[in-house]
Amino acid sequence: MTSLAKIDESSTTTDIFRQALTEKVENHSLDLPLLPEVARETLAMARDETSDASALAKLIYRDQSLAAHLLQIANSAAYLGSNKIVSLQQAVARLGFRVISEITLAMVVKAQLFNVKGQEKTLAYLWQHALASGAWSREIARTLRYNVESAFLCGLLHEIGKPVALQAIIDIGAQNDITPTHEDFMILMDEFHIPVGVMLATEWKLPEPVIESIAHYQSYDLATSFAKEAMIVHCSDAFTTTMIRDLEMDEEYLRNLPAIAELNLYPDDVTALIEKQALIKQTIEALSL
Amino acid sequence: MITSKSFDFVIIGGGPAGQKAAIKASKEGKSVALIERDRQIGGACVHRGTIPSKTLRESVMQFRKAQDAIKQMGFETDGAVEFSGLLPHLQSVIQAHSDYMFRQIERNDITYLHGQARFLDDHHIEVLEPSGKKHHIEARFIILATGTRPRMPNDVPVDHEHIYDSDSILSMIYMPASITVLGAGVIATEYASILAVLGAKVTIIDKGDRPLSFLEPELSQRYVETLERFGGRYLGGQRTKSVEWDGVSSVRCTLEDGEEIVSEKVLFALGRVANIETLNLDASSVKLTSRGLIEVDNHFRTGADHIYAVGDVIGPPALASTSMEQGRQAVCHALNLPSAHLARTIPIGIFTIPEMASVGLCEAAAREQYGPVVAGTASFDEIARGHISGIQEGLLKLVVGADNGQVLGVHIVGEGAAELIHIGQIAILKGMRVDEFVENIFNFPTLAEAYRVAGLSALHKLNRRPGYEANVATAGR
Repeated sequence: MTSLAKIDESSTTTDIFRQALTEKVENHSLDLPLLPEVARETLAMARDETSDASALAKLIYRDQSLAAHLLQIANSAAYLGSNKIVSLQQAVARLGFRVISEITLAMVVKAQLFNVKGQEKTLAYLWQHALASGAWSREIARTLRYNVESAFLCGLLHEIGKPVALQAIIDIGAQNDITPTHEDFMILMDEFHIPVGVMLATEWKLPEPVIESIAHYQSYDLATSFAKEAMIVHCSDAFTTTMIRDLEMDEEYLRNLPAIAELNLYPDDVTALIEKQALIKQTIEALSL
Repeated sequence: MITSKSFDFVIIGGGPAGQKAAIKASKEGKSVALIERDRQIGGACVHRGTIPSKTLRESVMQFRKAQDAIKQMGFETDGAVEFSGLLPHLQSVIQAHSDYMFRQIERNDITYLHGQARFLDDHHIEVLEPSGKKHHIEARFIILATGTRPRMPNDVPVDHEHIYDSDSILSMIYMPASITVLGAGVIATEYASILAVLGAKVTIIDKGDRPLSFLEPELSQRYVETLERFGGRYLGGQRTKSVEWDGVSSVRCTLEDGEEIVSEKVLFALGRVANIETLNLDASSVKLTSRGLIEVDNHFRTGADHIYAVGDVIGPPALASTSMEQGRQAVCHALNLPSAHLARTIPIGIFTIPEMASVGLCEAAAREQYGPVVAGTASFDEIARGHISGIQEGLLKLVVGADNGQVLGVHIVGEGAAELIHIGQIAILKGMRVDEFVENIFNFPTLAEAYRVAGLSALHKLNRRPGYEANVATAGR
């Protein structure tokens, strides 16, 4: 149980949760969800050049719900090729290891982290934000002609710490009989999602560009490696925010982001990116299943 | 807010041509502004072309040498290399080169402007920074050195994720199991050989019967033989009907004869286009050629006497080495400084595996231009240094005038070719006869000895030709 003894009477509930969360992060005592075996093995297989497709299909069959979802996504507008995909083997052969591992991880993350009772609305927003950030990251990377392949995961997972922090706040509240307010959630998720996200990504042994993007997407100038990935995610986060928040994407705001200039994206490039909004929405729709 | 300033020289483009032009102008005491669209100077040469591909090649060759050394010592190796493992060294080389160039620009007191240049009229340029901030610049002389970029075809969906161009191929973070290379020019063959040696199954598709068709057939042949030894193949005389990513995991190239080549990735390396779109050339007197390049006269002047264009943006030979000299010569002309004519004998180095180099005329062209010629060759497996260094696969070919023994062309395939070619370059420039390779002494054991061996081979043929000795004697031997 987390000790709240040091909190004085003038402390707000936010302060109370902040201290408890700080202790958990500093002591590495945060309850981190485990990366399901199937996702861990899928990621490992995707990185191993000697893996074969039938082994990957067998692995996914171990989780029937995952297999069913994967087929559904493979047949959605964003991924469908010329023929309908009717079997998992066909999906693996057609989608390839990287796409399969990407979808698997997205689905596992959603099921594992974005599933807290009573917080459905907040988590639904966060999930939409994650998917859109992944899709925007990919398109920004494409414009830059730089590491398009790893961009989706970097964007998708950059705020993976938020749902974990949210769960931790609920747990701390339950242990100490305090009910967190909506404001508590918002403030503390913002404050803690980066260290928590880095802890989770490290524990899950996610690729290094993903960990660096989580750690430095807000402060990309501090990144010692994969700084460009962090900048791309920083921009994708801003693109996502304005796409979800505003009726029309705020082009002026995006053009003036310092990271846009850092990435050497000119005003015309930003305009061209904004025109890809429909494509982004299609990707979100496909993976929202 | 728009700021405004005036300079003697405004150079647009910070690649080899622009950089050398800027330095020359500055050294002549002129005020110079260098405008570069990218964040770092160096252009395609440093960031996407010459330096990266050569560095990558060097890493691959070092890896192979290390592997061979391990095998020679009786140990086993699995022969695998992580593509991503080669990239940090590549980045450090690019960064070091870029930093060095920035220091050079600073040292020469050149004003560096990061932004996109646009003509307002023949003497005024607007510079748009990525942030949207604008500067107006007045220039006495303008030098365009904006370079080229890979051509974006209408019928091949280059997405930089599954279908790469020759710039984005460098962002590939792992080795694909297979790759199809469309094109058989310098860039295509360089990357094809690097990827084949690293273990990818490479297929080159091109309309030409052989790759690098401007080279001697023997060189192309050695290239194809090496490619095949690493599991690759060359499909010559072929055109692609369609190139399609299947939407998920592989790319299908359908040839006009119906054959389908399916691979994990595709590299599209067919042609480059001039970087001129954002220059607003309509506001200037600069004219374009029918190929969309900037038209210049012999002094690199465009339609306006004070606007010059140099480097790849004016077309062939599009070599970093010539571009630098063009930049320098443009400044000399603008300032009425004496300057030698651009050398007519330009060596070409192609950093494929194996390396290739050429200078002067190939056998067919020499015959057409000078009448009868003979060729002398030396295989590196006849050269002691070749055995010592494990470079037995090379070949040196001399093309020699049959009447007087004058060296007309030198063509080399094998490690060190791009260095070795300079001996031949000087021989051609000085109008040397092949006898001089035979009569002079080269260090032993060195690869340069191949010149002597090839010279002997040519001389043997010449001596069998009636009247050769008499001709040479008349020519003042």
